[in-house]
Parts: sequence; C-alpha cells; structure tokens
Amino acid sequence: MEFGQTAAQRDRCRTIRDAGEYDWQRLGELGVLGAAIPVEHGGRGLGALDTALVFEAAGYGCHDTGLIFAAGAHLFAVALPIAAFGSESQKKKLPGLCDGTLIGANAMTEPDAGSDIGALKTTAVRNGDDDGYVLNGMKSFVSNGPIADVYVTYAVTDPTAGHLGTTGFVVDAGTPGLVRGEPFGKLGMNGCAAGTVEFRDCAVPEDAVLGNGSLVFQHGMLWERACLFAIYLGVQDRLIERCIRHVKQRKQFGRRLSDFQSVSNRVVDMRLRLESARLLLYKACWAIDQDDLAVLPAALSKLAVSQAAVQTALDAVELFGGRGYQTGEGIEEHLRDAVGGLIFSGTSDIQRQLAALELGL
Amino acid sequence: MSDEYHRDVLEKLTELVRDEFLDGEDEELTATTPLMEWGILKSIETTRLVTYVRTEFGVRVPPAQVTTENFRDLQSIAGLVTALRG
Ligand SMILES: Cc1cc2nc3c(=O)[nH]c(=O)nc-3n(C[C@H](O)[C@H](O)[C@H](O)COP(=O)(O)OP(=O)(O)OC[C@H]3O[C@@H](n4cnc5c(N)ncnc54)[C@H](O)[C@@H]3O)c2cc1C
Repeated sequence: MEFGQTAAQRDRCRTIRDAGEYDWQRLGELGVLGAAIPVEHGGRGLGALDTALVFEAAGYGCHDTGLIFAAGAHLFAVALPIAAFGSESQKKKLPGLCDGTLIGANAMTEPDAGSDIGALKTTAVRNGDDDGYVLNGMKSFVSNGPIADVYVTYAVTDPTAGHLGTTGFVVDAGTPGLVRGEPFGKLGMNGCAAGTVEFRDCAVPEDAVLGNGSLVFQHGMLWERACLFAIYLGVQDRLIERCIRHVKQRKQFGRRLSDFQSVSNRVVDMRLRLESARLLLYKACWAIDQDDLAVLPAALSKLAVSQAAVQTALDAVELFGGRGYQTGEGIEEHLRDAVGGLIFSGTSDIQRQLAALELGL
Repeated sequence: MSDEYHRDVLEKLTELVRDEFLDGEDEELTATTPLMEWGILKSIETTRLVTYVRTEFGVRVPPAQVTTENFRDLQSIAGLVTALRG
C-alpha cells in the first residue's frame, strides 16, 4: 500500500525560470547579480562591505529567499572567480552574468567530497590530440545546476599534489558530455533549483582553465561566507518586524502578547542576536576590503549569522504559534530556508575548525 | 643573515610538521620530503602552516603564493618565507 505524497510532490522545486525570468533580470537591473564585479565588465564595482549591504537589502526586500540565494551563488562562486582569475575571453561572459542574461552555477561538491574538498574524484586529463582537457566525474549538489548557462567546476589535474593539485574550469552548458540532472527536492531555498552535474568525457579547451582550484575556490568561499550571508540579515530584519507587529496585535488572556514579558524578551533576544551577527559580518567584509586577515572573521561571521537565522526563524514560529507552523502564513518557510545556511559554504563544524586553525590551536 | 634566517625557518617548520602533522614520527622527514605527494600537507595542514608562518615569523603568505611549487617540500616553503620577508 502506498500513501502520502512524496517530498517532491509536497514541496515543488521552483526554478528561477519558473519564478519568472523577469525576477532574475530585475536582480540584474538592480545591480545585485554583478554587485562586486568591476564596472568595466558590467558590474557595480563594489567592495565586500557594500556588496553585503546590497545583499542585505535584497534579503529584506525580496520575499523569495531562494532566489536571492541563487543570485549569491551565481555572483560569489561564478562571476567573482571569473572576474578575479579569468582570461580575457572568460571575462566576456561577465556582462551577461551581471545583467541577468546568463545564470552561473558552482560545481564543487561530490558524493565523496563535501567538507573534504581535497578528496575530489573528478579528473581533468590532458586531451591527447588537442589542446585542452577531458573532464570526468560527478558533482552532487549544484545550486542553479539544472538551469545554468555557465559552470565553474573543479577537477584533479595533478594527483601527486594533494589539494593543490586541482584546477578550476569554466564550462558552458551545452558542452557535449556535461549532463545535468533534474532539480532534486530539498528542505528549503526552493526558489533556487539544485541538482547533479556530471561530466562524461567532457572535452574543454585550454581556455576553460580558470586557475589553481584551491586558490580560486577559497577566494570565492571567503566572499560567500562574508557577503552572501548578509541575505540572512535582511531576512531576519523583515521577520522580526513581522513578529513585533504580530505580538502587538494579537491578544490572549485579554492582553497583548507583547505585554507578557517572556514574549517581549524573546523579541529582544532575537534583535540582540541579529545585531551581534550583523557587526561580525560587517567586520569580516571590512577585513576583505582592507586586504586584512579575513579567514577568522569570516568563519565567525558565518557561524553567528547562520545560527542566528535558524534561532530567529524558530522563535518566529513560536511567537506565531499554530499559525507559525502553517505553511500558508509564510513564517515556517524562514526556518526551512535558514537550515541550509548551517551547511553550505562550509558547515558549522568546518567554520569552527578554520577558526581553531587561525587561533593556532 | 639570510642563510641563517632560512636555516632557522627550516628548522622550525620541520619541528611543526614532525610534532603536529606526523605525531612526532619523523624517521623519513627531510627538507626535500614531498609533502603534497605523501599526503602530509592536506588542506587543513596547509592552513595551519600558513597561520604558523604568520604568527611565528610575522610573514604573510598571499593566497596566490600557496602553489604546488612553493609548498612542495620544507625546503621550498622555507625559501618562500625567506623571500617574502624581503
Ligand atoms: C542549500 C545548499 C546549497 C548548496 N549549494 C552548493 C553549490 O552550489 N555547489 C556545491 O558544490 N555544493 C553546494 N552545496 C553542498 C555543500 O557545500 C556541502 O553539502 C557541504 O560542503 C557539506 O558537505 P557534505 O554534504 O558532503 O557533508 P559532509 O562533509 O559529509 O559532512 C557531514 C557532517 O560531518 C561533519 N564533518 C565533516 N568533516 C568534519 C571535520 N573534519 N570535523 C568536524 N566535522 C566534520 C560536517 O560538519 C557535517 O555535520 C550546497 C548545500 C546546501 C545545503
């Protein structure tokens, strides 16, 4: 006997294209997609802190957190690495990535290499007859993967050189041998489709090489950990405002909820957590802009913001009671969208490990 | 002076790798042991080493210098630190 809907039926995966290309291009017009890309390549030329403010505003103003997350993955892990490391011909993709004509996806994670990016199995072997490489391997979790036009991916080119023996590549959708899967179901961020991307004897030209994989990836991750998480600051601002309106309006026992001190204290703690996390995030972005040591502040900021986002969303569900739990009310989705933040851009354990290393432990 | 500095850096880096990455079992560790190839320097160890260089010698290794050539063995890392010190 079968009963119940499948996860996929229950929680339909929307894609940017479903959401309307209009929304994606609107993000381009607003300067979100190219915020940190130099002006000469079609971007806004902003530093890390200003870029974070753009994403914070987008998180506040856009009710589809998954869509803004898709924009973050696109900018920080695709457009930015191309701007920082790409060849002149690769940089020709930047205006399209900035104005929303193109969608980018970053394909790093593999079935056996998640936190341990040194364990990549995807290989890039020199193409015998031609210049260039042949890619083979499976990437298991690629945000924007099912719909992207441009992929930044990573493969082992020198098996004797450990984690420094990987190379970053820029690969266009439609390249023979690049096989992308259907969107898979997931807990949250459903405005951003994710799926697998497989390389099966996928031949790419020499000019697909972006640079040393470790270097390119860590550069993007640093910006992602600092700036992308500003989305969650904006989301929390919006959510706390909603909670305040709710507890001032709703009455129980003949009194407003806000009159109960344990309720108002909860809201104050939400704000305290948000403001503390915000300062850490600004500090991390400032460190990037000053070319200062940013790994520790970025790890601390990522931890603080992601944990605050989950706790704030959980508090909001409690403050709204049964309504907070109902899907129609638009409260519970914040919790589902927040959980991913504990995992992507390096899990909380990995951030603690990076912080411990930076502290010389 | 630079030779002396290089020797000192090499000695301290050898100590770090032996004590912290190899749990003190260093029988085969030399200045030219291929650290990447033998899997001694994985990403976490590399980060730890870069932090150590910064705190111990006051030398900041720019990410672009974290390459297979520069991190091949202790000799090349000590050379990099000496060069970066200027
Ligand atoms: C919403 C979302 C979007 C994503 N988008 C992308 C994308 O666009 N491109 C992409 O390449 N990937 C993407 N990912 C994948 C993500 O980067 C990985 O899921 C993440 O790096 C963790 O890898 P893993 O899932 O294999 O977990 P694992 O590495 O198997 O970790 C499982 C658990 O073990 C813990 N753990 C592992 N190693 C250690 C250690 N050394 N010390 C302590 N604890 C440890 C982890 O913290 C975690 O709790 C996305 C993930 C999510 C949730």
